[in-house]
Amino acid sequence: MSSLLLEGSPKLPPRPRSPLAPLWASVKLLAAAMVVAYIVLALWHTGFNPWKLVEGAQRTRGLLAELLRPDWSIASQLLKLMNETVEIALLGTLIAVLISFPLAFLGSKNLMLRSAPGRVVYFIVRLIFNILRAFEPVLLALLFVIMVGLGPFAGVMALGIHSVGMLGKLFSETIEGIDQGPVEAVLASGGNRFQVVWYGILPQVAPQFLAFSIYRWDINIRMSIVLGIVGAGGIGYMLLQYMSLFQFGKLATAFLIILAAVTILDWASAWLRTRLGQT
Amino acid sequence: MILLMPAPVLEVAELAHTYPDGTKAVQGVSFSVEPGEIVVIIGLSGAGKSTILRCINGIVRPTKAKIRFLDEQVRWDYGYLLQLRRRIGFIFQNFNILEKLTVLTNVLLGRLGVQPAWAMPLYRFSQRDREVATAALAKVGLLKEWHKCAGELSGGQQQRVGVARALAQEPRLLLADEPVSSLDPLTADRVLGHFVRICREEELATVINLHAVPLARKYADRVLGVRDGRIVFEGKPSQLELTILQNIYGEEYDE
Repeated sequence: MSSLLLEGSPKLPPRPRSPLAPLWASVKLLAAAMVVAYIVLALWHTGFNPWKLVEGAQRTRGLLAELLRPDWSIASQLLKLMNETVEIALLGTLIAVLISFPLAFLGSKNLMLRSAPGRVVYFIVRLIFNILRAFEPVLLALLFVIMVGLGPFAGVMALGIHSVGMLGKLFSETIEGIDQGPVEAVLASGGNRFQVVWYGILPQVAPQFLAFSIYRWDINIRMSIVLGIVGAGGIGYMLLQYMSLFQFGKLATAFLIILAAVTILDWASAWLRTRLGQT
Repeated sequence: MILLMPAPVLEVAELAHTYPDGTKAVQGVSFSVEPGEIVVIIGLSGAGKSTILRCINGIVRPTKAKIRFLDEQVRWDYGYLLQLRRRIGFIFQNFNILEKLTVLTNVLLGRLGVQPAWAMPLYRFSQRDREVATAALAKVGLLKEWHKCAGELSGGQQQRVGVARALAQEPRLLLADEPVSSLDPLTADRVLGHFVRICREEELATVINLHAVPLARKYADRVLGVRDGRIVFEGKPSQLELTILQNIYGEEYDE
């Protein structure tokens, strides 16, 4: 092919510009300057200083060395607590699944936006999901510790309530992404509203729902460790205790058990989820 | 002699549908279908063929219509529509089967209208429903595949599942909306031929939307030509001459 440039070179027409363009340019510049300023301010406020890491490591060399000598005498006690952490996460997730499953249908656009009462229900359910998601599990755990006392039950409730918001949103969005074809097929063969949900929608969303639930359990196990630190049961509480008593050998054992458990469960959940995706 | 004429299964009069945006999809459509008769509606995509079928089973609520089905006036309240749809089988262009469910369960969905309430959450069906579904599977020749995931089947087989699901309703009327247009021409002819043979055996009143004229010629007892939401031709397939087809499909139509 001969060169495109043979017959005089065309020029790009000028880009259409609004009269406000110079104003926008200065607004953008101002915004960028403010972001940079805020970053500098944050560095100052947080006392950000990498040198402290080196200094601190030299000062506490002896203590840190203890981390390399885990104290295995308490391993069986810690394993029990790790198991409790997994159980807290399991029950929290289960509660969340049971609550968010029915709510998800009421919070999906494609099912609810067709009628005026449906729209009201949709907005209320979505609002509930948003509010529940906004409560950090640690805040909820503190609240439940006050309500039901120290211990794993507070952790179960905190994870359960927070996860309703997360799972509800994910479930609803899954329902919004379904193929309408089978729904119409169920309607066309005389299926009622419940049959439409149970036979037209559920088979399409079930594998995803299961995958999200397993993933949520996985996340909740890690969250549950943190919740332990504020007294909501499980292995987390021991972390705080060993820290404040400078029992770094025991702390090391706890670290290793958590690391092993989280890695294994993470791997198992990923494996399960890919299996679900394939079938 | 009039007494010997079979009563039509379906009588549509003055059917009109206007979409909320003001598009007049269907206007003044009237026709009837007798038992065992195969009526084929032809016309361009967007001519209103789908809307006509969806108005008959109430998936789309017509703006205006008088429809009689088995000598009953069709109403559009929820309870009556369930009763109506139970007796009308519908076959879709995209099959609309549930790919994750087995072939048998997909066919059993044709029995949802008579499924007892206690069995609903458990995916259970009565013995008779299972027998009907099995018979429907045998009719379309998929008996051996009953336990497979419907998504594993080929396109032609998937549409046969769709046909079996409609037959499992033990319907009095079958509506098929472009049933073979997502299949290759050879498979399309085979699947449609098989479908039409079943309809004739069962003496089912059948309405099929098609855009392929050769298939209409081959399988229709009567042809309706639709253009811009109106019926512009009604007659025997042998009457489909070039001028008539040009009236339906536009001047550019050329065999």
